[in-house]
Amino acid sequence: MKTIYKLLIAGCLLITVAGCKKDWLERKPQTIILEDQVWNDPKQILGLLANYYDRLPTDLGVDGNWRNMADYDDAMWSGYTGEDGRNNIISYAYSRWAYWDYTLIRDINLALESIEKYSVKLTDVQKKQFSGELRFIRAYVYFELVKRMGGVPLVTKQLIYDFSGDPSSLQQPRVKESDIYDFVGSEMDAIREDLKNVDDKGTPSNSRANKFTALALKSRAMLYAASIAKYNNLMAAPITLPGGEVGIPASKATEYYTKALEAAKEIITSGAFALYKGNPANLGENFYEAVVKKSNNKEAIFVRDFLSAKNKRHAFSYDNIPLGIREDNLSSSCVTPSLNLVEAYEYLDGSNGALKTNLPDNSDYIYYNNPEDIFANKDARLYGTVIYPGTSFKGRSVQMQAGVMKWNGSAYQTIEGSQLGAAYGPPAFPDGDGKLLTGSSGPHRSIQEVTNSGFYLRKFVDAGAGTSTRGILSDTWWVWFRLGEIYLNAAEAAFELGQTADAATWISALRERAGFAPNSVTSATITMDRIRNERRIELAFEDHRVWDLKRWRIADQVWNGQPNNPNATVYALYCYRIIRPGDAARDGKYVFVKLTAPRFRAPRFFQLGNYYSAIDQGIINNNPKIVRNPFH
Amino acid sequence: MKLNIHLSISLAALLMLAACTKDNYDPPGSTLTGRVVYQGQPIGVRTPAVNNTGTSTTGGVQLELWQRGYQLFTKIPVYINQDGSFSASLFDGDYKLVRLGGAPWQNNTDSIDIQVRGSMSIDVPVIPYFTVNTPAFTFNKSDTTITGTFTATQVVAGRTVESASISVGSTQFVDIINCVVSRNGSATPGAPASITISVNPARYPAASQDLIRKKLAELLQKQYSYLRIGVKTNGVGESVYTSVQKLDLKF
Repeated sequence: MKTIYKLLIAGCLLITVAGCKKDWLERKPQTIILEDQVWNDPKQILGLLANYYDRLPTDLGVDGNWRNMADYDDAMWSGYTGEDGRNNIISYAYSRWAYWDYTLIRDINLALESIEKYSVKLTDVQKKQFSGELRFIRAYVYFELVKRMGGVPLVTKQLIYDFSGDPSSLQQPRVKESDIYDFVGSEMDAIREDLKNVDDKGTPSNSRANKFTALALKSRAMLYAASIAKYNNLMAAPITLPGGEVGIPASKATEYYTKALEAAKEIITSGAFALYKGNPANLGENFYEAVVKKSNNKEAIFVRDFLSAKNKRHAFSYDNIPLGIREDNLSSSCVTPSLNLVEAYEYLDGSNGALKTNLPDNSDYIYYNNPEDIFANKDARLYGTVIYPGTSFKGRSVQMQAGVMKWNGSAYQTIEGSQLGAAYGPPAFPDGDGKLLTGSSGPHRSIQEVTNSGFYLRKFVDAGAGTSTRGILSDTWWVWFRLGEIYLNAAEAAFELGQTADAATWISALRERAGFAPNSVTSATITMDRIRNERRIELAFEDHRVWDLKRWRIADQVWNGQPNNPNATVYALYCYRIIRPGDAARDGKYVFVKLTAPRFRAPRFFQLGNYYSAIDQGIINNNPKIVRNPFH
Repeated sequence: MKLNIHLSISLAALLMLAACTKDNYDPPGSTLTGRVVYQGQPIGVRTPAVNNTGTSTTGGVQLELWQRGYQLFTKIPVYINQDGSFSASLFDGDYKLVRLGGAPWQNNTDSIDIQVRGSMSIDVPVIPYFTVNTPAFTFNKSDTTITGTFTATQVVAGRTVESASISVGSTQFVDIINCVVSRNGSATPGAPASITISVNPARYPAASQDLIRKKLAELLQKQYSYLRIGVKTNGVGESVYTSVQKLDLKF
């Protein structure tokens, strides 16, 4: 035979011999994982936990729903005109804020049962820890459900259909609103010691649940329940359902406030956390870092973290950086804070935060040497939250000027250009003085992707180099809980329980961090309005405003849709350079004009039917035992 | 053979073309119209502002239509116009008309059975908490104000008036939300009341009122406006309104 054939036959025999494995037909599949493989491997359970943590809902965020920041009264939309509907929300849909993620609830219930059933190789401590974290996530989801929908079906085990044709055993009715809050509270008590996730030095994890995370959730949930118990019943017609699915009896308010206060106090006195004060030289930057900086931040309790190195990134900086300093060629300036929020920050002497643009008798403007002078001596949290004229970000100054005002002998003539960064000179203005007309970062009345309100967002926007490009993106985290909120929870609960001195201490501590003198608020001067305002300015854009207005039952008055109501409209502040040759006291200085933001069209309108969102008809079709929410 | 192929292709094409109708479902042809009435008189309400975000309704005052006999339920919202009338385009069938809560009338969850067979009209009886009667408006040239006089009448005992309002609009659709400027006042049921509102732009000097100044200036230039009086019941979101009246604003 030819050699080649001999070689081939030899080769084939060799391969066949080598291919003979013992149980070649009994190999394990590489693509199927069995239950007892998952539940006995801590790494796989951790992978599942990561997925569940990621599915926690929020109305705002640095990804997902972040555009909702522009839908209320703290900010407006100045980005791409396709989203201008956010400046023209005639009324909030009854389905807004609706949430019904029982898929996640079921996933968690299944996980809990599987750990009980299959986890034989895990230690008791490990099993309790994983179960505790799962129960934390589940309780958090129920808290999100109850704060949006009222009482919901409380399902804590798998529901399995028997395919008999009758699903009525699966149809759970809604439980009382107070029952869900009680469930959240009792779950946190039950799991707090099992959660661990505290390292050897005693530093709690800020991305996995531990005892302090449980206490933080408890303090917030109990505070919400207490407010509803109190303020719902103070309404002329309390919003209730006969079965208690909506509405909490007023008698429960004290009990809930007490629980909220205890939980908050335990976090504050534990010593595990401290208000961030890492930058005492610049208190404004300090506040920005308190929310955004990841290293050496003992204020963050629980965050949703991102990591560029592992490609978990987001485009929040790309979308919100000021136009004049953007690093990419598209987007920027989407969510821009309102004058309403800026004026909520007080002056450091405790006086009202309204900006002084005109003389008290309205005879003339007040002239400022530099644009930032009008914001002098304001609460440092303003700088940390908002980029205002005259300030810089990422080491680059943000040039904001709306136009010039030229004195013509008897009155000012307001001149605004149509090109950003343009000078006041030829060809458009042949007799101009050649100096700046419009800032490179606006504001402008109509151009998209430049601020319409005269301010830019600083909080959560990444100051790292290149992070506003689509290539690099940003990995700033989203804060679920931080110590600042816990102070506010404690202060509000203490105040409602009559412990005004303690409440004043915590509020003063937050204010001291913002540049106020120590004890700027005492038990004689503390009021509920002051606590509410502190909550608004400290926690701006951290997903609290809507829920706070809802639980205090003032949302329908603050956002009542009426054109006369300054709280329902978003205002802007435009800066103008004065041209008045011969008048040294005025020429070249800056004046400010307050106006309704030009792109803002419809006053915010929150109706009684928005306090509890509409339950989708599809859910009621599946489960006729579900009672509709009021007004829908 | 070639002929056959050509024929088959043409036949197939003809068949496909014949099957091409735009929809295989006729649109509903019967119109249900009606008014919400009390003692035979229609009740004025806020113009519905139907928001196009999502499929859920967004307020205003509405009735619901439900139809039994199908596997699932979908409500048909019937928005009530500002003069108390409504209309809905329906298929023939038996419906239940339900009065939804949140309106300025007594909550009544009884449903009204309607048999729709062709176009029909129906009056839906309600009992409002208050009615507003005898509205009259005058324009005071001297101080550029508008005075509205009216009488609020109590219909349901035990309810109180939270406030009365006068709304000045530049279009025929006016209410406390949809207006240039509005003002709240008080009203004692049973006694005549009046509210005066200024339409002089100079009387709205605050920085937050720049848009109101602008729109009032336009209104005075137009030399007429549309007005309504509303009465809001304590604890109820929506107000009950008078009919819209046009008023000349001539100096």
